[in-house]
Amino acid sequence: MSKKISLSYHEKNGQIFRLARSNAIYLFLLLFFVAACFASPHFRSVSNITTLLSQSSIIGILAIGQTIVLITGGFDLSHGSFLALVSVLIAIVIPTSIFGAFLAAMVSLLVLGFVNGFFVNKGISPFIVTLGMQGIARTLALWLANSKSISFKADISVFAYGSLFGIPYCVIIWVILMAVFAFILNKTVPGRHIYAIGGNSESARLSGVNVEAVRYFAYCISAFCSFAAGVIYVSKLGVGMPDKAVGYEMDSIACAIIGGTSLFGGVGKLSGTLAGVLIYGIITNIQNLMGVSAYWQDVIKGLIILVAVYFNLVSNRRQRGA
Amino acid sequence: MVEMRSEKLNARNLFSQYRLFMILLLMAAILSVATKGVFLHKDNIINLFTQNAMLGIIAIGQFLVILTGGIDLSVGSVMMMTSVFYVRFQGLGAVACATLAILLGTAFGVMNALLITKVKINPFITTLATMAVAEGLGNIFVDGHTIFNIQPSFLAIGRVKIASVSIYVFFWIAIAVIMALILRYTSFGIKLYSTGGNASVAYLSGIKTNRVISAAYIISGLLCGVVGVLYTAKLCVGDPTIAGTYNTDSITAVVIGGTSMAGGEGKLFNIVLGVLILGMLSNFMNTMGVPSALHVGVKGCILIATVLFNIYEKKKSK
Repeated sequence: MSKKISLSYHEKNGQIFRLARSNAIYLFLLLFFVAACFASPHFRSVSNITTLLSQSSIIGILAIGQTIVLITGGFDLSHGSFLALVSVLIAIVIPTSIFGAFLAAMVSLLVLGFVNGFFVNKGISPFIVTLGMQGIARTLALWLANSKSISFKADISVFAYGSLFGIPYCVIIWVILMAVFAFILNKTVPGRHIYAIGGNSESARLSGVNVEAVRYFAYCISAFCSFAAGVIYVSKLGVGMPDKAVGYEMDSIACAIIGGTSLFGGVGKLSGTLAGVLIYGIITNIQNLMGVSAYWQDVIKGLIILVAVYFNLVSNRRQRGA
Repeated sequence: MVEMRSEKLNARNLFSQYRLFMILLLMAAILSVATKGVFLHKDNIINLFTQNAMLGIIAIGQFLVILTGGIDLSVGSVMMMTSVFYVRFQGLGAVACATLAILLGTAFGVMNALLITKVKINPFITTLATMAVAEGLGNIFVDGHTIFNIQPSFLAIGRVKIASVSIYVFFWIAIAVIMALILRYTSFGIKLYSTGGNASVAYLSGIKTNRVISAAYIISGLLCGVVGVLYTAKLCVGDPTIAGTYNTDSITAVVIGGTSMAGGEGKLFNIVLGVLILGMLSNFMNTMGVPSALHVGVKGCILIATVLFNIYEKKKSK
């Protein structure tokens, strides 16, 4: 009798552990949040949390696209250059028409995303394709802007600084995109296919998935997310900057990976990525509040990536063992 | 008939084997015409080699890493970190500082190697993280400022010339030749290729794949340390903003050199050609007055075009 009880106790314990392990990233997030709350009283204020969210929105939106591309087994290294290009395009077209500016930027980005998809479908490694695109998009931005920053009169700062019932518009855009793409990934056929080609593109092809179409779809989503993030970026800056926004792709990859997305494709969740982005945001925010120098922030960022990925690895290994 | 076909086949083989060399010659010809013969001037050729020697050395490390199927995103930042570290503590003397700087670079190589082989974190993520760490540390060493005040003894190596050719070129050639000999004639070379080709098969046939992979990252870190010292000695400043282009340029050179990103395929000689092609391209664009804004884009196009061409070539030979 006593043996049976102890067994069930163990079983229960095991279940709790398993639950904790499969949700390790959220526990991690909670831990960081609580620690940050204790570390700085300023962190706890509502206005700071709002700031944190709106600061994270650009990387958060990029990370949505990055996660989807990573799930297909790809990469998108062009995000930073895409942001610069969007800012330049909008700055150039906006004197003519505000709506036209957004449309032009969106269409151009979708075309570039399509080009990414095209070359990946040709069998070139996504790393190379998007690295090349990083250079090409940067050049386009510099060329269009004549290597200078472009100022414009129209006021579009509402995306970055405006708010609805106290919630900034950039956060609202982020949440909407998150919801839409989470729905697409989890509840629709294209979403299933994205996971399928990431797991094993050959067997996906054999079971009737149009692998090429799915890749086009994924890279276009990523480019679209860059467009949305770029709108917030330019509305925050108020000028088109062709030579800035370097390295955003590394941040978006880091967030997706911290959130448990695999670099080999087939595995990943947008909710995990969201947690990754928030962890990233909290770390930056708390260091700024505590006056840590930007250089130390780089070092700490690197270490956090390693720790988080190690944590994911261990929990995955245990899960597979259990 | 049969003979003709085999001749054709031979020609194609010859072409695919020496394709890079031909591209190089073609570019040289175009450049000579475009510059009305100035390009072929001895000084200009020496200049081309001198300018690309440092990228060339880094690309050799990058090549070894990519050969194992990995990637080293940290090369530029590690190089920057060692270059400012070299002139940070000048009281110790130039030789000691150079040794410490190279050791620091090697330490980062060891760190990458341990994280990848022992902790089993993916090379991309590992080197992405160490890139951030090296970038931060480099800036911390000099507090984000550029060091201008450097003792002459620290810059001596940058002035050495043999037969009016900078010693950097000889370093590059020496390292390339040594590494090529190692790859060709030692068991380590064979192990490197087979580990990159298929790590699990290599492991099952008794190769200590972890050691081989580690060696590649450690050599890459070591070479970054060496180039860090050379860079500062050449430019006479310790500048913490130089990391940028070396990451992408070293990868681009390796890929133009026909190395497969999947690992296990590639020749070191072609990497040297890849670096020279990249260098001549910059040279060409500068002579033609192409605005510097367009350089990254042209490099990007060339990168994609090369790989596309390689894939086409492979399909054809099958």
